[in-house]
Amino acid sequence: MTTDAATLLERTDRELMQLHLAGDPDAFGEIFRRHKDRMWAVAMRTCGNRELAADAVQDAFISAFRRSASYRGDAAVTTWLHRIVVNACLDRLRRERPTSELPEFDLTDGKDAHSQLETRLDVHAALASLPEAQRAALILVDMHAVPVAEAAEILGVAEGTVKSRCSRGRTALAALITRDGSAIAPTTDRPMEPGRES
Amino acid sequence: MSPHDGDVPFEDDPTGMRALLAGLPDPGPMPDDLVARIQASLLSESRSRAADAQTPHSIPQPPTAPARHGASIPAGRKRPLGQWIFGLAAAGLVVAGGGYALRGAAGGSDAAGGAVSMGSAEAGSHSTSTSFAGGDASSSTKAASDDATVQGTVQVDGGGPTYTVKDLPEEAEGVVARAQDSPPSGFTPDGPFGDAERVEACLISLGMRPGDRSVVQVGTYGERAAAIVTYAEPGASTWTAYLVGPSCGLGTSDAIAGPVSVSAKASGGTNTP
Repeated sequence: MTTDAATLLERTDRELMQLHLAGDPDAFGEIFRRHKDRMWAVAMRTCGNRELAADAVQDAFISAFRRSASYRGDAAVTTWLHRIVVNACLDRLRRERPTSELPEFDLTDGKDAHSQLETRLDVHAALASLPEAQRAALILVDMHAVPVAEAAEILGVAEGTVKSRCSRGRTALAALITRDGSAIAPTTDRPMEPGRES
Repeated sequence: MSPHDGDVPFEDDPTGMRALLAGLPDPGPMPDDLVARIQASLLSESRSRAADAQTPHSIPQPPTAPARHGASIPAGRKRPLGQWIFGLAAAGLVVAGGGYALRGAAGGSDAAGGAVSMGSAEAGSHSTSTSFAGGDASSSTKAASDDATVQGTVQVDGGGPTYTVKDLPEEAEGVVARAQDSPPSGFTPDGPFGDAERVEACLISLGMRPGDRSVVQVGTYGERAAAIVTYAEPGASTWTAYLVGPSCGLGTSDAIAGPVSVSAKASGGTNTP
């Protein structure tokens, strides 16, 4: 069975998953098209390294394609995808860790001022040194504004655990960043985005 | 409740880290080359799934390893082109009994030196091809008879020509026709069209869909490597053709000319609107 491209565009993520499970060869491609950039961002921030992130996000989408039957439909497709991407990244990082230093960061944004760049490097380096559970929680909740309840689903833990990990992570991050005197002044606090649904 | 979120609302962050993290720049969209890479992988998965779905009672046989003469295979993680051709052929034969051909010259080898049989790639050998593809013999045979323009041929020849935009319809028609007429041979080109995944990404970027048949001929355009890339839906007699440059598959199609529609049997191509 096949569905024409225009029809696929109108389908929800859940419907696309159903089409994919029913054998539609193009449905998963539309899911990939919709969510590739967000998953790439999650992978980049979790892995902290472009090459690792690329491999991890490729692993994740192939895994999602193959394991689509494991999607039960009780969570958003994006939640399910996030979970697969985060796990793929953690798998890659665990494999790399024995032989690698802290993740290097890609310096492609030439528009940033030097001090901002240094701050970003400090933050990324500090983030990379946090325990992986805290880092994953901070990336999802604080960097990607994923609601705590959804982050809990993605990470497979209770909401309270996510909050705790975020709080501990923030405290540890602040200590790491300010340890050498390069204190970071808080900027405007950004409200959490409302819950998202695919 | 943990001690960290006891009395203070979760959103209140005295450390300022939450705001700092939220303010970091986004990594931006997924790079085009990675998009193409993943799309190629997903297409491959889709083909495998389609083949599995169509062969519930057959036992897939592994393809005979293709012999390779006179051409190098890119090292590292790249898949040898011969394998890619077999992968495409397997999927295509299940669906349509069609075949694939690639005529290459990018490495500078001549046609005679590169002529090698590619495993089961023998014109008309549908049963052999179908067995490794795990395909349904009856549907494959029927499709093959419906579409006599390209038989179960997998071939790679040296000696690709110098292309021009003006002659694309005629060249493309010849590419498809030779896929049927030329004897089986094997040649894996060096250069930009020697990487199977890249060629596959090139085809996808030009609109090839899962199950389509494809024929690629490598030559030159001006001073640079180029290829005529054609594909068709299973059973269709009209092929879509492009002339592409060496960056095709690297996040861009690098199309020089096309698309043009060519009939495998007709005597001329027509420009596709």
